[in-house]
Amino acid sequence: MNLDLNKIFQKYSSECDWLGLRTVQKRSQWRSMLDQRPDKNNTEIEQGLMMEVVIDGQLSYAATSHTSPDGIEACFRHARDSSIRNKKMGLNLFDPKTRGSMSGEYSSEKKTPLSQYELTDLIQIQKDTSHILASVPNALSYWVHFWFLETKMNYINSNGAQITQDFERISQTLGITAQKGDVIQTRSDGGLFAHSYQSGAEGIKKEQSLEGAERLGVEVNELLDAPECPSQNCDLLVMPNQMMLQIHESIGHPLELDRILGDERNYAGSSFIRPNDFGKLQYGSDLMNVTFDPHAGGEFASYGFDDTGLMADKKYLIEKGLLKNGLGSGESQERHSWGGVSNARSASWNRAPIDRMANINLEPGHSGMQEMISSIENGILVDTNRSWSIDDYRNKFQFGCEYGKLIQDGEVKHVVKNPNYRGITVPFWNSLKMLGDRSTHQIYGTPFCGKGEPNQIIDVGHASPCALFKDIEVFGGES
Amino acid sequence: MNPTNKQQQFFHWGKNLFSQLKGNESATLSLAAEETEFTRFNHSLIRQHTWVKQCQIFLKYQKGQKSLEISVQLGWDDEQARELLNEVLESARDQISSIPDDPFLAPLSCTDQSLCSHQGTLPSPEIWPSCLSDPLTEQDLAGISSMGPVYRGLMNSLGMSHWYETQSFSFDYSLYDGENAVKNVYAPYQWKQEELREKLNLDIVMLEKLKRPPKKLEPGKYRCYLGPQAVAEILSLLSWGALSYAQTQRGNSPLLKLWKNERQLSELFSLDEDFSQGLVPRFNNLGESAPEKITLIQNGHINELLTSQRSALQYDALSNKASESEVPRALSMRGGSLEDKDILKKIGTGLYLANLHYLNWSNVTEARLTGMTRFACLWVENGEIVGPIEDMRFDETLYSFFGKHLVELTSEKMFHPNLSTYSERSLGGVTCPGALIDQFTLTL
Repeated sequence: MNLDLNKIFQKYSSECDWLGLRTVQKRSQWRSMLDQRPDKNNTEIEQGLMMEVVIDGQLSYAATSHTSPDGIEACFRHARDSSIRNKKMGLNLFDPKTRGSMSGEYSSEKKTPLSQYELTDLIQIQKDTSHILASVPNALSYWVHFWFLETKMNYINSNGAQITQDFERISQTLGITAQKGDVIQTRSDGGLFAHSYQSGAEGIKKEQSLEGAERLGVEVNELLDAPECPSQNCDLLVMPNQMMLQIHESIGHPLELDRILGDERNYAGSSFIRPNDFGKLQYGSDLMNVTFDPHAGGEFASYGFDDTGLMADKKYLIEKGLLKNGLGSGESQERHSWGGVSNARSASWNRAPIDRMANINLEPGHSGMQEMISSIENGILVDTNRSWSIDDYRNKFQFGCEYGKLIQDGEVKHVVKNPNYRGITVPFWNSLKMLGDRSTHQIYGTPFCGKGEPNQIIDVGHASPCALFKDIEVFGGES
Repeated sequence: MNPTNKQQQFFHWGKNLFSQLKGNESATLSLAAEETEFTRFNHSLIRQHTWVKQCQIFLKYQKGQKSLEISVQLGWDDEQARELLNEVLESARDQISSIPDDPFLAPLSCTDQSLCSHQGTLPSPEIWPSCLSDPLTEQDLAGISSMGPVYRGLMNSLGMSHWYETQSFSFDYSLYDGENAVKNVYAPYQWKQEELREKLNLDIVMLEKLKRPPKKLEPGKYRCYLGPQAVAEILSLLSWGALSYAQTQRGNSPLLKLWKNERQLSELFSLDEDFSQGLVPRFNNLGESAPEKITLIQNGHINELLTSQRSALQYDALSNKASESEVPRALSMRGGSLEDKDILKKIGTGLYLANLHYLNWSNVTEARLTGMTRFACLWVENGEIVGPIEDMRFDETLYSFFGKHLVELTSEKMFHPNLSTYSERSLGGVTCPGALIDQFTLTL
């Protein structure tokens, strides 16, 4: 698909009050190996055009993969006719201020483009890693999956914006399920595709994959012999690969302004945050500093501009535990007076942009890992998410992890299986009593954040240190 | 272009592509296309309106024991399609030598042909959504309507061919009063304005009942009625590997202990994969047509699991022509004898849970799941509705609430269309009754 957006813009901009055009081309590759045999080797090419057409203050979207002149003409007519027809029932009048006006480019940091990577080399990594997993005692099933995504986005609009962005993304996951007697346990490398980054081919690391397989083989067998996680209220030491989920569900989603404005009430849900909470709500303890950071190099959801052409910058959402800003795009900020960020993003060419998380990070604290463990009289360490659930206002959550450790009298005692914990968002974050320093800090991401009507799945990134919470309800996997 | 032309056009692309195959090459070409008007509502007004026209073609290319898949989005343009599909075929040939042999690769077969068309009645653009203005005066509605044609096609180089098309409308909405809400779906085969108005009026009456002060519950075990939408949420969770033959072999199925007869469900619980309503194509991603009805669970015991051709080869089992992912496509749970008019009386004192939210397995090996109450969930005393409850978390094993604590199922069953629209509109759905349970564990 090679469309001249300026030419299309010239043809249609005079037929409406305001026009935005966005093309997206994606090439994704799914390379999965399951139990030492090829599982999926799929390549998917997405390509199409999204038109934003405003007539008399009413905005409508129309998108097509039929990018012939006739296809584009039909697309424009649909958007234009919808804008005229829906004027009387529109929730908001369109304001051009909610869209960008700058020219700019963004490109993922990379050394070697993904397109230059040899498929045979990747398959060999999968084979070698699978070979290690196959030799693990009690192995039942194991997997080594890679997912690559190359995206090219172009955007222009009546404000004069001219944006080009190129993204290269890598996600990888490996794991093993093992059985001993009646006990079945699964251990993965940080969770399903938690190792998701913006990177070129240099991000495919054979040694990391092989070392991961060795470690998982040991740990899954530890779990097979481990006692159940005890049920008790105690300290909870959360590793960064579980903090990712904790941040995502109990900070990221409730801070999305479109949820607070009610757009998501019928599907993803609302938020416990109220408009007058910004600047007033003590969301967590004063150790807590949370940022929206679209420029964190290599983090999965980095970008230069959102899908409405607005330049993206780092911003504090929560500072010293105090709620400062929401996750709302220019459009959401226009609908209300709260502070926001540039986060109107869409899953692809065929979906309208909505408020999304991007990179939401918990900034490091000042405690070392050993210092945190030494401070624990009775507690559980939890590692790698395996189960997640939270209510539609983002209050009551329950999360389960793959791997736990019992900590007593300042020492790690032994591994426990099936660790779970539950709590309520604001009291939980206010129970944060120690926060790991940069040596405990890890970056993760996921390609699977779902939201919106029509539904959209998008990439998000989360970085966090280890974190210690006091007096949390922890329990095992009793039947 | 009318639908028949689309079918002919797709078959033409396939024949042209297959004519270029050589030696031990074989291929399956499938199509997923739609033309959809999405109208998103907030506060009973239009938040976003998006028209989408898309067409995606999937080439599954096989050479000996190797296979791969390449998909591409394109327009209904013959020349563009021919060029793109030729490029896709060349790309497949370039990649295939790097792919290892797959010992369980299912060979293509040529046993089936089908043609299926469901043309529902849609509202005209002049009527929808403006017809909502009157019934929703002073109401707060959020939700989405989706309407238009959806197409699915499949053919292979041995001559198999399938075509399925449907034209449908769905309106997935919730009516709010503060934080209280009633959730519903209107997805008729024939759209009728009066029918929708009546449905909305009933929802508005229900919303009035939610205006009473909410009851705060303590964690504990409660007698409870799960409405059909709540049961459908639970059945949807079973799609995550619970009914898959391969997942039982890999130790990942939440129903593994049921399959091994180490646990059992109530004899009231029976579950079928039932294609008789024709709301989803019977052909799978290989073009195999599933039997019209497969009994998965019979009176609390597993009868058979969804088994793909691949699982049949790998585990020496019998395929029931499930898709490669072994995900259910037309789940139907059998009903019982409980009449709707008796539900409140049979609850006595306890919970009426119309909807559940954000379900997930909290312990896979014990089929334990957690989730939240949501929307119209009520406290009932002595057979009378007292008012809404504050949302609560539950954490309970399937072997308990659909096992020894399942009391009765309603005779009336409801169809819940699959309204998922991640990248494309989904087809099919879940059919199920409501369920009366004498112990349901709330935890937070």
